[in-house]
Amino acid sequence: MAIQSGRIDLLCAICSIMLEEKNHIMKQSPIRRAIVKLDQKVANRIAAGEVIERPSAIVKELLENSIDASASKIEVFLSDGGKSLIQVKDNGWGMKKWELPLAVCRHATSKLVDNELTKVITYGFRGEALPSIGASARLKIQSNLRGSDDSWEIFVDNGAIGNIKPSAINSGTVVEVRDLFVATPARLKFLKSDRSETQSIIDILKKIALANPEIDFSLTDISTIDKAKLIGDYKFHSKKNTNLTLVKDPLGEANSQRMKQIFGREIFENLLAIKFSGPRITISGYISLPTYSRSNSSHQYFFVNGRPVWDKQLLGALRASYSDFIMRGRYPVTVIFINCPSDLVDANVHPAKTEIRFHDYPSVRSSLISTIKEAIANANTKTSTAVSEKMMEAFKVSGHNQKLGNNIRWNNRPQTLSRKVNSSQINEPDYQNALFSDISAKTFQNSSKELIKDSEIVECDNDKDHDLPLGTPVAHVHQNYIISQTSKGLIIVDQHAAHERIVYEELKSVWSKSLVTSQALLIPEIVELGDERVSVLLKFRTDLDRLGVVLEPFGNKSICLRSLPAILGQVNGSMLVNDLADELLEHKDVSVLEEKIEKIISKIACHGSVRSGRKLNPEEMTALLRKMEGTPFSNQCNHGRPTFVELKLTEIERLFERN
Amino acid sequence: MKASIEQTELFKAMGRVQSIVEKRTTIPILSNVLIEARDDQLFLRTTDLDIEVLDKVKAVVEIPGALTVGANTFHEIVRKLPDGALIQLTGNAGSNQLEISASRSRFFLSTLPKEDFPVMASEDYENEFVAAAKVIKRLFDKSKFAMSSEETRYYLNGVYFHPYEEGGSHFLRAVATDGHRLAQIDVDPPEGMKLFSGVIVPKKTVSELRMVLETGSDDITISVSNNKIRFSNHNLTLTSKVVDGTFPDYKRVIPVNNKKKMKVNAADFSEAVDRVSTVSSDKSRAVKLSLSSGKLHLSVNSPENGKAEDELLVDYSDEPLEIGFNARYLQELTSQVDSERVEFSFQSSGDPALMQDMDDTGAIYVVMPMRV
Repeated sequence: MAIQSGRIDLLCAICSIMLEEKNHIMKQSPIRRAIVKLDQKVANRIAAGEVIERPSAIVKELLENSIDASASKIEVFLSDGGKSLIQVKDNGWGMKKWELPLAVCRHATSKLVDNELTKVITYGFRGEALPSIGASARLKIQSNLRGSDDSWEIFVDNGAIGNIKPSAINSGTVVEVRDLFVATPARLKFLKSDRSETQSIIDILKKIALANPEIDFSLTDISTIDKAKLIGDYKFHSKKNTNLTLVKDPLGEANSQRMKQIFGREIFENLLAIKFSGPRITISGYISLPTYSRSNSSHQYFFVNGRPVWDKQLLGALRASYSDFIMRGRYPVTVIFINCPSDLVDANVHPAKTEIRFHDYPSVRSSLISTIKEAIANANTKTSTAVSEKMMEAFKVSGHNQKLGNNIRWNNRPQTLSRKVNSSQINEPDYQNALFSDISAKTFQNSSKELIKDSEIVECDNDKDHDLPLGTPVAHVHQNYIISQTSKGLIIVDQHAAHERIVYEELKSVWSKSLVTSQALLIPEIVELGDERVSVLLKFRTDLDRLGVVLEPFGNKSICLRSLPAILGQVNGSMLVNDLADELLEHKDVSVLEEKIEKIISKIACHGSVRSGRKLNPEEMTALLRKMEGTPFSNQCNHGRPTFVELKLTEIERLFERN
Repeated sequence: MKASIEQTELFKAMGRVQSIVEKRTTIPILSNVLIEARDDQLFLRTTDLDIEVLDKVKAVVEIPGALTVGANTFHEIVRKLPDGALIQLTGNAGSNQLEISASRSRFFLSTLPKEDFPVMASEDYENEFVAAAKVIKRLFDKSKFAMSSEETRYYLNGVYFHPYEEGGSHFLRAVATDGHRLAQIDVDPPEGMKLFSGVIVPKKTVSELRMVLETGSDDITISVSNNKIRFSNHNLTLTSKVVDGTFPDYKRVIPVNNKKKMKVNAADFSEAVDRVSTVSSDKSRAVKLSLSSGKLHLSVNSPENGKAEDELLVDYSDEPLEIGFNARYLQELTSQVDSERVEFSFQSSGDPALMQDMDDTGAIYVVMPMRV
């Protein structure tokens, strides 16, 4: 053992000597050289690196150019994941002959009016896309100016601009990019497989197609010459062409059509439309029901003024809006369009323009959160079809197995059948007991007439009740599930989950009205935070005070924590203050504290609600259903599980193959 | 190893040592008890690496030896053997088994090598003194309710045990706090106690201490070093590591200028607090005390349930005061008191309150108010 450790020490020593030597060599080399201006070609290639990092970035730039040129139909062809060819064909307004050489020069664009960067209304404005593509691939642009007979083309080979030649196209513009990164092999090496590059292009196309529902897009893979594969086709059918009357969508038919094309009908049925118009900002789009979620955030799309963005602040706002309704680690499907005057938002953060800055982020955040919460609150009697799909599947599978099993038994041993019938006869009364009318009859058998009259009243109301979203309870099974009949089918309610949410919402509303009790600390805690965090905490001192956190400045870099919300019990104060400071810096609100408190309330709610296993009488069941209808967010419990599932009549009929 | 022992004796001893054994552990031998037979005694030793308990019982030892065996199973077996039976323990080195037999019952338990059992390193205890069990019991029993269980301020997860000198008089003192309330208990210094630097006795040790204090002789030997503390009586020795941390300067938080004094019957007060807090459903049961001349008005306001009020006649002559507290804290405080009356002293609704047992000046309790 001793020898071994000795050997390790020796090895370490050798390594460190080697390292030192290496550093020595590196330290030796610097020689002072004069500053020179970089060659234009090199400069372009460096700049190109920021815009063009993979084929999908080219597709994005070209699609945006086409849209900026008012195209109504855009076709994309690619081969080998876009590495060997990307071709974008549009029917936009085209370019003049003399504009072509300018288009491939850096910082030349038609999209900035009066050099005003604060009034950008087009996708592009930096004048960088085409020259960047030209610097890193072989680029050919053919264009026909709308209304003109002549078409022209220009060719750029890895930065070398060729001459303008006549071209043969009839309309619009065709941009062709071949052999990407051939001149920069280091970049080429970092590209992923053809398959994943293609996927990335599809993703870009989907995003842009979502934001432009009235433009036709198509994407064709022509890697194998004789077998072109159409991998994306999003067409806009205007209403005149279809005689079908579609379900009215608050965001317009074009949007819902495109949503269905991209996400499929199943997802679309689980989405809620949202719409908010403020004085300067409008928010619209689709969000999924909390009970319909994904395991990653790849289905969350944000568009600011039509531009697809990936913004951490917006994602944070989304998380905050769903925090109360969705299980940890699940992500809702969302497509959200935010429109605001171009001077309120800055897209010029990064050349790829996927980042943005809002000038008044807190108000964007609060409008977004309240819009989403409202939509979810209003949908409290809607539940995800995914749940009922699951149920349908379960029914089908078990039905199938049973059929097989029974057949075999019947063939082999007929006597089992008779025994089966007997046993089901024995079971029958039990089942009958579960039925609503029988429960009431049985329960009230011995009691006064008055009670019987009550239950009759409930029965009389039955027909009327069917118009209620959650219907009338007809049975209580396994002492946890309420079966309720609605006009459209039946629903099954999990009594504990449903009641838990109701109690939680009640507690929350009580709690939000009263002042939070705050427990003073015997030994005030000094938390070191740094200037910035201290000042942001002090700025929100009154808000924090209202929530039970009492703090005082303690020098410039620390605060002194005097009181904490009593409801949190024994809590790590310094961690809480640190979290609070981070949250305040990022989002300018104290939601992290509210979330913590709500978590405790949620625990209390769990203990204060009807347990599963408790028998409910018909009146209690009806009361629960009516309360659910009146409680916001009652379609999922505090942990994000559904509180009820719906089985539509049509689905039941499908189960019995009655269509 | 070969030894025989009376069932009752072994059962009692095993009951004491096995209580610190963790049921689930990643180191198998930690669930074992080390049994040593020598000098006509059985030495039973268990540990969780922080605490070690060693118990001695009289036995007839034929062949001295040592082995380790699963503490819980062994304890259960001894429990189920007939009362007063003579138990024969035979270690079989060849099969690594311990044979337990009593009348017609025979058990064979697999053993682990005794060399692997982690025996706590012995320590140079700088200070050793003897104190009466009931004195030590008082120190820990009356302070332990205020220990913190929140892990981040680990130095509060125990009782601060230290000598204290004030105005020429010496005490042995125990202090515990969870950041919301504090208990400080003093006793006269036991004979032979020199000054030593204070140690924080961990939570688990404080609760296991009971077995040393409540069994065996009246006198307890206490040995203290910087890292460990040992409590032992005639048979039983409990050795524990101490919390490696600095206990905060608690003296700063004990109010000295609380002028507004209220004297009240402890039981009446505790009952009234309990009554009014019934309407509050949440964890932070805040009770509001409104003091006016000769009268204490208690009220709880629960937004979901309603209100509760109660009134007590108290000895109070200062100006009116309103102050809120966590009801549980008040009840835990008053339950530490042995005598009939307690004295609360306040300064304002935002400052710490002090409570003292009127017949026992050696105990001081501090509690922070709540904003209600």
